[in-house]
Amino acid sequence: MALLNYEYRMNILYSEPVNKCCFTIKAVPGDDFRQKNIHSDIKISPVSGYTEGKDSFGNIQITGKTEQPHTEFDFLIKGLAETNSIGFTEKVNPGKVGMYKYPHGKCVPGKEILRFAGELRNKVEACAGDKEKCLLIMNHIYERMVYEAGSTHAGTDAEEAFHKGRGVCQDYAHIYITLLRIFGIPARYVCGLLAGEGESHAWVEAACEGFFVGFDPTHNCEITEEYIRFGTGRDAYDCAINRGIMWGGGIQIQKVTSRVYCLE
Amino acid sequence: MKNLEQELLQYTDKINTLLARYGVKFGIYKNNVFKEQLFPFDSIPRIIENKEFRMLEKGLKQRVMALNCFLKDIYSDKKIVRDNVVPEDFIFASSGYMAECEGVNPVKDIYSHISGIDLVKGKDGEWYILEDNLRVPSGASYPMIARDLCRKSAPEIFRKIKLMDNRNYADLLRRTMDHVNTGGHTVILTPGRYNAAYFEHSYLAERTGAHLVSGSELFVENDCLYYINNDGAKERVGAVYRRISDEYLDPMNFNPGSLIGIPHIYDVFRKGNVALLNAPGNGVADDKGIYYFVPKMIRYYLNEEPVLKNAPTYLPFYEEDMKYVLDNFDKLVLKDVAEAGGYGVVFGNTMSKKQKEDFIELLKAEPRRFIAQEVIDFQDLDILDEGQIVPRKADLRAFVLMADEPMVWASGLTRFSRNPDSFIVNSSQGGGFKDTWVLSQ
Repeated sequence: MALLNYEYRMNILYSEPVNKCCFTIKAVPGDDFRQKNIHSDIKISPVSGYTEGKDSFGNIQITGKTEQPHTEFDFLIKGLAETNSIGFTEKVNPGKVGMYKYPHGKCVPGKEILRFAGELRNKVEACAGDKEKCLLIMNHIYERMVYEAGSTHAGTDAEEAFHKGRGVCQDYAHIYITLLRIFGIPARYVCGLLAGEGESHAWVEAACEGFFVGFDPTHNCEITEEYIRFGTGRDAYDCAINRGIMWGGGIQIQKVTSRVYCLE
Repeated sequence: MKNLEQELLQYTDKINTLLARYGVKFGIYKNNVFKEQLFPFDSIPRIIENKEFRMLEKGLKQRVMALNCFLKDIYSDKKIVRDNVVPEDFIFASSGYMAECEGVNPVKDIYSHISGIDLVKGKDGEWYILEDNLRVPSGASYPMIARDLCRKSAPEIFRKIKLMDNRNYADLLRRTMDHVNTGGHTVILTPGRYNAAYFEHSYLAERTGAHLVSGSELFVENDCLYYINNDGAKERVGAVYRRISDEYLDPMNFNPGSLIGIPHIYDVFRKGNVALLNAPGNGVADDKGIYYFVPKMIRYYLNEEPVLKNAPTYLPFYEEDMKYVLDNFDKLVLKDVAEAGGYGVVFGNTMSKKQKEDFIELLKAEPRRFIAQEVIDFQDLDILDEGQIVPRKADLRAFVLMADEPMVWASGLTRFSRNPDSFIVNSSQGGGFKDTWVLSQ
């Protein structure tokens, strides 16, 4: 069991004033088997009307808008969460799992991923259970890929990053999801925070023996108490932390900082 | 009856002139240029006997009820998949399935408020369902206004026949919208005058008394939808008959590039604070691949035998069907499940050898993408073509509205092909239309 103090801030500077903006933010930890959000405070500047709800992937979302002209948008969430080391988050709901089985969005295999899957097939099929398969596939991705900040961008898909052989956590997660689905394991993208990291992090949950278990392909490990989940979806797009429409704004610079530390 | 038809013929030009004056047009894009063209009206009506209509009515209600159950099931428990009636592939690999709609309950669980069901009558006298349109089916306004103009032009004819009045469509639509309204105004949301069916949007708004609005006139605040009235004050909106497709409805939830949508409208819908007619996500049920399963759905959800038949359909997805399709290629019509409006439809016997080979290769690579159907030899209807009465292929779009109960409009849009060699009647492919008369006894 761990108590985590967390803080996530997103700051956007605009070269021209934004006259109006609508936003959807998915950066509030929900409760599941392995985490509990004890409390959280949200500050949005400029002051905006907003409400809380849940999207179709089960993520908490904050939707709102502001009509106050601004050149800086700031979102801050601070809170305390409790996590444990069981590793799984939810039971797999047979009525809802289908959407995590098929290629979608950024997780559509191309020739190279399919070839790679072909090379792995015998080894994967020799594995005893789902979890063993997941670990094996993850290990092969980890061996194959090189982590390099800036080598890809937010719109890079799994095949493109795999072809490059380089990427960041989002790319590792997309490639991993694509491969897991090829092997018939339902898998979903997770966005959240990790202790000691300066930005948001991404990892994967795969259906193992009836439960969604968290794996972090960037670090080649199962998730620990140090992970806080914000949202899940079929790919990064479904649980993007920030989605917005601005009227005006010109060029924008986005800065994200996060801090997570253990109290116990 | 024949005499009455003959009598109506002399009014053809007059009515078409009136239709043009009222702006009854159909917009089409050809090579990226928007062109508005008149929708040619043929004054010889399609006549449906009362008894025949009662049978159609029963079958159409049943079909729409089952499709509605299917949509509710697919966006929640998916029992029909788990009971192996519909393979999972046909849901999740369908472009019409929208994961964003999972777990969202439309007001009163109605998904398809306005359904346009396309049928044809075979030479064997039997009606066959061609396709279901559960997203934004258009066309009701054309027979509505045509009937109105015909009655004005030739009132004496309508005194002589016992005909169901079809001018109640607006009442049925109003009842449908009011039934799900969550409190506030009812609006018809149009993408604007460059939409193919803009005439219809404005006509239905006028006839139902709903406000005709564009996306920029609506906005979301604190989980509610508002409309700015002429005095600049905001007023709640409780029901939106939206005539824009799912993708463009809400840039925050669907296509982020949409400029015609309303940011966060789907989030308001999600919380049950507004009704959207029809509900987003319906594309999974009117997919050409799912069509095959509709009779099975009727048995599964309603425990009834289907009253109306599907055209005999094969799914190359199933091995034995693939074999049948390859063996009988020349007598089948093949349809790409992702296309609509008469696009992506090919007849096996019209392909060259090379085209056929290429097509079969594609079919084998993506069997899920196509369905094959027997070509139904459907009845021709007489039309007046340059002074001559000639037979042409025609279908019928029936409208089923779902309020507290399903209601079938006692009329419909009869579309015909002007090309004697064509089976494709879609207005986007240049066809014309007729009024549909349902006899009252």
